[in-house]
Amino acid sequence: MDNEPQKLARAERGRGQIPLQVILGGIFAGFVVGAVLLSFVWTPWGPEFFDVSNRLTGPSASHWFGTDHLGRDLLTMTMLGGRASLSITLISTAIGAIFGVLLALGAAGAPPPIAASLARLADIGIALPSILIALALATALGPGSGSMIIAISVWFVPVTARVLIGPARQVLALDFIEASRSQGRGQFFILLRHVMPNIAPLIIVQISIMFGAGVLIESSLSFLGVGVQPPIPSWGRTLSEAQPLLSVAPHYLLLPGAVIVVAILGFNLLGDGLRVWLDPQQSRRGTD
Amino acid sequence: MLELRNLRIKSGHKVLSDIPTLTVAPGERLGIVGESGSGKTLTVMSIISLLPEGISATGEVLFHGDNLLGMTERRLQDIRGKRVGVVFQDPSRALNPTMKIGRQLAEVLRLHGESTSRDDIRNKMLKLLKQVSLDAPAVINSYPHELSGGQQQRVVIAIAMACGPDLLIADEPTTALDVTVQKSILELLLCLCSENNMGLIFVSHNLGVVQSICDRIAVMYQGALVEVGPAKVILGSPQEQYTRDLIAASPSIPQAKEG
Amino acid sequence: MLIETENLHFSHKINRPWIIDNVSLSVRENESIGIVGESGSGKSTLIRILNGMLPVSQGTVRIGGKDIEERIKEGKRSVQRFGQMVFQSPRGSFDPRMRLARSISEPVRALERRLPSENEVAEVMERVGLSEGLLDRYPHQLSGGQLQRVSLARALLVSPTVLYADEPTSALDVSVQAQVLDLLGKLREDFGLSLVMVSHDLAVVGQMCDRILVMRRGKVVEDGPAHQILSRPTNEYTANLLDAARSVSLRR
Repeated sequence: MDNEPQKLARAERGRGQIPLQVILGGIFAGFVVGAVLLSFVWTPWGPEFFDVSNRLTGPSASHWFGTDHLGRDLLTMTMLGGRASLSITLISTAIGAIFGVLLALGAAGAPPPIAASLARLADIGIALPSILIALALATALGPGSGSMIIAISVWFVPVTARVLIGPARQVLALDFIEASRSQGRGQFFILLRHVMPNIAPLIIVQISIMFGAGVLIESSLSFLGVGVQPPIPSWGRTLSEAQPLLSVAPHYLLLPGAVIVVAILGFNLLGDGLRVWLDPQQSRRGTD
Repeated sequence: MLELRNLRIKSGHKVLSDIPTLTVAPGERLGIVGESGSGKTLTVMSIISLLPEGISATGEVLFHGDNLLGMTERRLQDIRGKRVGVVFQDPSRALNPTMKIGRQLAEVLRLHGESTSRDDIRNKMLKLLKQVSLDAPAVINSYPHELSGGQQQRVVIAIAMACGPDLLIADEPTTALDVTVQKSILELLLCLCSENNMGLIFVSHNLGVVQSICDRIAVMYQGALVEVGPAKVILGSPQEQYTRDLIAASPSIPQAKEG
Repeated sequence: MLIETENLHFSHKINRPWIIDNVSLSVRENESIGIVGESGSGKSTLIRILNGMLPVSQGTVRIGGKDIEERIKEGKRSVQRFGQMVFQSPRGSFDPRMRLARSISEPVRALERRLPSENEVAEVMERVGLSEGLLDRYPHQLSGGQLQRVSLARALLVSPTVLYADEPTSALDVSVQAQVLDLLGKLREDFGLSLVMVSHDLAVVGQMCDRILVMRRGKVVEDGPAHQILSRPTNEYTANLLDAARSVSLRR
């Protein structure tokens, strides 16, 4: 009652000022994604080019990142390597988001026995260690982008669901849901047209976070050798090739590594910032 | 005892409330009535400097001659709870759900009190709870959620009164309670104030409630003080149009017909 | 008889204490009844059973002469078209992410499987005293009083026979409360609606209703004409309630 003007003012302020994290995160992530997209039309050197006499040289005017152990331009390899990482992450995130949301809505709004089983499913899913599953799948199905996507998605779906179940249940307990029911709407409609739009900000945040996690997991798996195989370049494999050469050619590990870090950091900052920006009213108390 | 002078409450550049003057004499019961956005809660919170972030107050809040606005937090903490007690609307939010009542009461007594011996504190607790008509031994060992809303509010009042304050500020203390419970809490407040010569500032949106318990009424509207005066005068012959409208809109029950 | 209940019992789970304990009541056409009680009296539960939102555990409920369970078997819609509800929290009863124009058409879409025509919407908005342009906005852009009017407009669009109101003015400022109650009275007359109103506030119910039902712990302790209950209650609980209500409402 009395705190309404303050609440509205706060809400308006919250929306108006874009948090620093969103800007920074957006720049970092955008930069890396932009560079990778650029690789589809241009790279500093051709992907096939290599000059064995020029191996492992440090950053120079002609090779901004230096060269790798085959004399290939490292910047080019990094840009190309990002394609695999980002596309695998993109697909896994999409699967994680779609099925995660469906699982969350089901666990929150289905008839109690079904809802309980779905919630259990989500709980179990989180307990599974993604990297071990990936290794197991790679062994069973063979390495490559397919098994990576499956491995990462298998973990993303329950994680997303777990994050969204609570908020979905909260929305279901709100008055306008009851109003909608009394006006003749069924559960299906309510879940899709009332609950989902009201947890949309959280879904967006979760997608951003999944992107960061996806890049991390994919790079780790490629590093272990179960990711995309040669000749397709990948960030993780680049790091695994660079690691034994750390003392002689540090740029080989550090520069692509820095790009990965910037990407993951960017997505995480973006996610954190969006969480603050899109839902400012939640955490505030009134004056009474 | 308490005097507000040129109390202006702002959020950034926006003026939320502006009161040129308002006084409370010792032992007096003042009711501040207003609808949402009237600034009544802000005004009262600024007395004890408990304003939310981004909101500030200028002017003077003279309590026994000392200006509370601009006092150091240390001195304010001395006053809050000891010389000025506060009762909020929702008792379940004022009480710590994980602590037994006895412990919470003892904490306040220890914080402000001169006595530290356990017996002394226990005696004081028993006395306080008796004053608010609660069954002391049972209540002391209960958790807040084990008590009813009315009982919880009595505990909150007991805590507010623990150190014998000169002034009690109550912000919509009965709004969340059932009607029969409301009546008993109002009677309790009336009793406590007269027995202890304690001043009371009672904030409410309900004219009927304020009518039952206050000597003087201040009507607020959109941050401004519309009218102040003795309760009978304000309700019987209101000067301002807003006051008249407020009276007209307040629901009432027709008196019982005789015979 | 528009609405009737006989020996109605309700509880959420079997073997739990009755939340509605042997309630028999009746509502005639064009009548307005107020259900009063303190917390735990079951008044909100009762109105939701009448509205079809909660099931009957034991006993019968007849809506428009027909058993409510039969109606539900035929299709829940017939119960919902019979009576629409206005809720306590005006802001809460609207999806914050939908424009009001969309929200207001929800009952018509769901119950009549069609969109309300522009004329219908214009007329109903005029009846509640609001400009149609407000429907382009989101709930947070309107005041509580305005939203409650939109709530009424929304209910009227399906032409219900009964209006259920669950504490319709408790969350509103006093001055707005009076306006909304006046509007409610006017709409009742214009549309010949019956009103079943739940409230904790005897003064409000006394102003709006022909008959009052006093509930306590799931039972009806008194049932009679409003003016009689307010002046000469026969039941001790009612008398106490009345006395307490007097001390929290304005004495003129």
